[in-house]
Amino acid sequence: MAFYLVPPGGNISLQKLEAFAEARFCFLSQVLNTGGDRVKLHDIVNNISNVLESECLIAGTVKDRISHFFLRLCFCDDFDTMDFLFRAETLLFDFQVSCMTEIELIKIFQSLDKHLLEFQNHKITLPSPGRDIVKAFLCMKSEGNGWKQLVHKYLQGQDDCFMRVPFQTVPKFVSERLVFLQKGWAYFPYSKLRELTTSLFSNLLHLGASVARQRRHVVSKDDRLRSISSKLKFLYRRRYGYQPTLSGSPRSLTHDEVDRVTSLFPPCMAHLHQKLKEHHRLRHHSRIQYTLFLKEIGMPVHEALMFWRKEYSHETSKNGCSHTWSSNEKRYTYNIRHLYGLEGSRINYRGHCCSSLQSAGMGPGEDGGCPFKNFDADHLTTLLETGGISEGVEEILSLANKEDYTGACHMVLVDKIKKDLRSKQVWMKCEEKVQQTDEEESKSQFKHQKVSTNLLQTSDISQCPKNLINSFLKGDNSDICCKCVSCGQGMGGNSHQDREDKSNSCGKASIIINEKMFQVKQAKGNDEVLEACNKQNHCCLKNGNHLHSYDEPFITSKEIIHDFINMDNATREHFAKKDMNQDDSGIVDTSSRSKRPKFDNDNVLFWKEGENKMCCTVEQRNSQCIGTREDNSGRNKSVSFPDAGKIQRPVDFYLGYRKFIDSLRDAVT
Amino acid sequence: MTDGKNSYDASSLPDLLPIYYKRLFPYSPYYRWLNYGGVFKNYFTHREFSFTLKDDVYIRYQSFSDQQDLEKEIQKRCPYKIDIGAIFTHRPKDHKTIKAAAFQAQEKELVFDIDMTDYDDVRRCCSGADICEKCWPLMQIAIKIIDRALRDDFGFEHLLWVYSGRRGVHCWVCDEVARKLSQDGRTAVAEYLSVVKGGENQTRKVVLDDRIHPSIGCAINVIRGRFSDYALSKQDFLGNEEKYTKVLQLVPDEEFREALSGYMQNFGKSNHRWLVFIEKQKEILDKGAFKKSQNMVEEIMLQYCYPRLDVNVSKGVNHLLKSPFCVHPKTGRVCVPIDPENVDSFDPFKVPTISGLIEELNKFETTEEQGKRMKDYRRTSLNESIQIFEKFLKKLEGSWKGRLQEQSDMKMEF
Repeated sequence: MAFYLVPPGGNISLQKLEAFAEARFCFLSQVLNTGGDRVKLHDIVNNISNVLESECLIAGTVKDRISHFFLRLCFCDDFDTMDFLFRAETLLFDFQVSCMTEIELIKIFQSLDKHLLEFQNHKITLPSPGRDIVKAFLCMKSEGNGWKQLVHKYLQGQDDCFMRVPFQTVPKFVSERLVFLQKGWAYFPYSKLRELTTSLFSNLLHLGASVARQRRHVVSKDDRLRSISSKLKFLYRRRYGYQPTLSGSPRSLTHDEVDRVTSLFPPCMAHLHQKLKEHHRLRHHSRIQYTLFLKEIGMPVHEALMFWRKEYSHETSKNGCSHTWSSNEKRYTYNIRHLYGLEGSRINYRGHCCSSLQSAGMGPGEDGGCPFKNFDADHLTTLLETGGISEGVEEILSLANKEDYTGACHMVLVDKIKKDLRSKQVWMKCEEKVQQTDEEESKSQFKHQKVSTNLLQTSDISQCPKNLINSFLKGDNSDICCKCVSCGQGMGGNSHQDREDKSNSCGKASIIINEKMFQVKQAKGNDEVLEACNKQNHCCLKNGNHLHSYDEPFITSKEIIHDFINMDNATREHFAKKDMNQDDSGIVDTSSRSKRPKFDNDNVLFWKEGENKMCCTVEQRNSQCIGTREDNSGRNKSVSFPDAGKIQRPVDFYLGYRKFIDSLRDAVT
Repeated sequence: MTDGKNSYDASSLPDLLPIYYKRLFPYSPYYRWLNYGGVFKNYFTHREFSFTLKDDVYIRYQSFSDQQDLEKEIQKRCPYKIDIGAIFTHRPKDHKTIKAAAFQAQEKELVFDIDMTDYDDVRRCCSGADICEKCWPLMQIAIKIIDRALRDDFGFEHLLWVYSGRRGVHCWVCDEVARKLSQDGRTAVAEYLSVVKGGENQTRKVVLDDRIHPSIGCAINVIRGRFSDYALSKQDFLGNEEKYTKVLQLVPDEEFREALSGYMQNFGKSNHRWLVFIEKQKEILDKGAFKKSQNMVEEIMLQYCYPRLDVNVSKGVNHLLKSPFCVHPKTGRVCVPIDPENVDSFDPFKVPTISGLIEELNKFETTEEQGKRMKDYRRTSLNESIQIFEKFLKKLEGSWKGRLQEQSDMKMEF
């Protein structure tokens, strides 16, 4: 029963249900983390702790089915969680099939027979896609002359004989033209049996999700199940959480301010803005994309109307577009108000997320989407250069080439910030890489970068960082004194020396999380909770498994708060404790404490670069406080670069950039 | 080509539409199509229509109980445009009384929209909404390629091709499998048929594998048959330095591109220049040099001629598409069906216009005796288009005869 066609029946204790589901979730997330690497998958499957808890993971057992179907039921109403389940289960299935012996393979196919027969005799009715999948299995069986022959042919690797299935059951193969099609049949060589079966399995899961959604009330109407469901979702978000949009206070953006903030835009939006300024028109999808982005960064609807009216009242050079604001005012107004949820179905749309921009097919002449995905190297280079990126272009192009679009986008952000700082002479030129002086350091996963101590001496030593940063923000290039150094491992540098420290630095994230948890516990209404969370924007959650993955973002979104409120106290404390433990287990590497450089000047700006993030710290030090935490005057604050993982939507780029500048300002005021 | 003998004036549309909807719109075959023989309950009553009225007033979620109801409403509202949407779980006009989650689009024809605007970077004669006889062959090529693929590769039989009234064509795939396709299925078909990919910022939009998929092979053959007439003589696509430089950008190997560029100057005409491309590709194939450019000729042909689908229209089950037999408000032309077997004889400039049709009606009224009872449209030039529609319909009706038989057999068992 590896296909999970029918849920099991019977009684089970709540504790077991919860334990099974949790074990499966943990296992699945490990599976997914391998990214499909066979060697790692083998390790996971053979891992002793997984084997111990494996009673709910052995494919085909009742407990396996229980844990699968329960997860499906809990996760089905949320796109993200369901997508997680799809990908992980499909990967696992594929791996299992690839490990199976001939006899095992025949067995899983034979397990289908009962259901296929029921279907043929009209004992069960299925929605149309389900019928097609059944038809596909029946085709495979008959074309292969029974399961035994079919499996045999597969294991022999026959690739000159074909089996055929209805094309609609294998959409992924069709869309990429990986199969030969004739009269509605997709032809697969027998050697592709595994891929075909996995694809059908994945279709069955999708079908199952829609069935689960119809049964969703089973969970939502039962307090006990709802609590477990919330906990599972909490687990999910803790691991794969995303930065909520608009968590920072959204400021209102007026139509005439847009030009001033475009330098903070991600390349995709900066490009659209530039095109709009050039032609005064955008194509339909680009317009939606840009309008929603502006909405998310704080443009109210009446400002949006003014903004678009202004542009569309210009004559255009764009080929053939005869639409103007005056002749189509009603339609444009309707469209914009619709996007703001004020017309028609009144859906309050969010902006596109990066993955949907990346996966959207681009018609010829289309101008939107994700530049890293849709632009060829020449166009991308031009775009980056217009955006003021000149140094990292090659690296960015190569990331885009490797399909790490988000990574490329993050590079742009980091580059922009660095360039800004440098051009304002707050930043020193990086001249040489630091020599890795000892073994400890060479082991470290952080790239050290020495920043030259080539000082720009200022005439006025009294210029404290506050003025310095302020003048930077104002774009004032007056002589500024600062010094840059390389600094060692660990987040927030010196902040780890004292664990009681309550700074915002990422290394202390868990404590902040604990605090928040208790805050949440005490908070009365949702709004209060959200507000409390919004204040804690800097918090991150450490992942106990990896040293440098503690920049996985923690989420302060409505959903998670919702989950949290739904959780019982014991669970909450359980999480709180877990986080404490992780902190105590010494994940934070403080080995480089001794490497802190010495300074002569009063004003210090230092930064360090890790593999995944950069951290920039602005300190005003006096003779006692450098490198220690004795100064609790609140002057010691660090500023983190936005994380790559946090850019999941164009608006994250903007908010991240904006937040960086704000926190820079905040650090010295 | 001219705009036909009947000039059309957009301002007269409000006066003409009532007559058109009263006497010319082919309600009966139209209903027969959308009712699908009544094989499935509620297929017509749960279908969404939407109207665009005067001054861009747009009303969605219209639905009708039967042909009379449809006729009555259309004549009452006189819509500038009618769109056809999906078949929903409930009557669309009741959608406000139903929970949003329960009101779902169930089925719809699989539709394709090909729009000449999307070819702007590869046609030199017109741009935007304009078309002329120099670029219309693109639509003929498009219909041929997509029609073949849908029939041969996907096994669809009931394809209704419709002129969109101005600059493009629509295709309605009405087979049961197509109507029941999920969003993933629709996306897959549309992606399978999309070869020219990437937006304005991707210069080289077609990249072929070493092994060309048979379906693309067939498309290349269609284009090859039309290429010299369309690209070389009509568009003269290598005619001057600006034009051939644009084509040369599609050659991936820089060195090879430069070599070709040198040859371009030696020849003056498009067809000679194109021969250079073909010759040189043969050469590098024999030598095994410039691996990336070995499909160059095919890639250029595809980029210039392969149908460009608006994938978003095809993807969604509940995406609306303009109905056949609407009148395009700007051109006055009726959105008439196109016979895919005679694509080449279809001339968008000879499509009946609303003003022309009504003039024809008036003429007949004065000359002919009133004795004969016959549908008004049969007396006009719209008749030809309706014959094409009937031909499509007749075949479609064949498909549900079998179904009705099956259903009645099933009932006999009980």
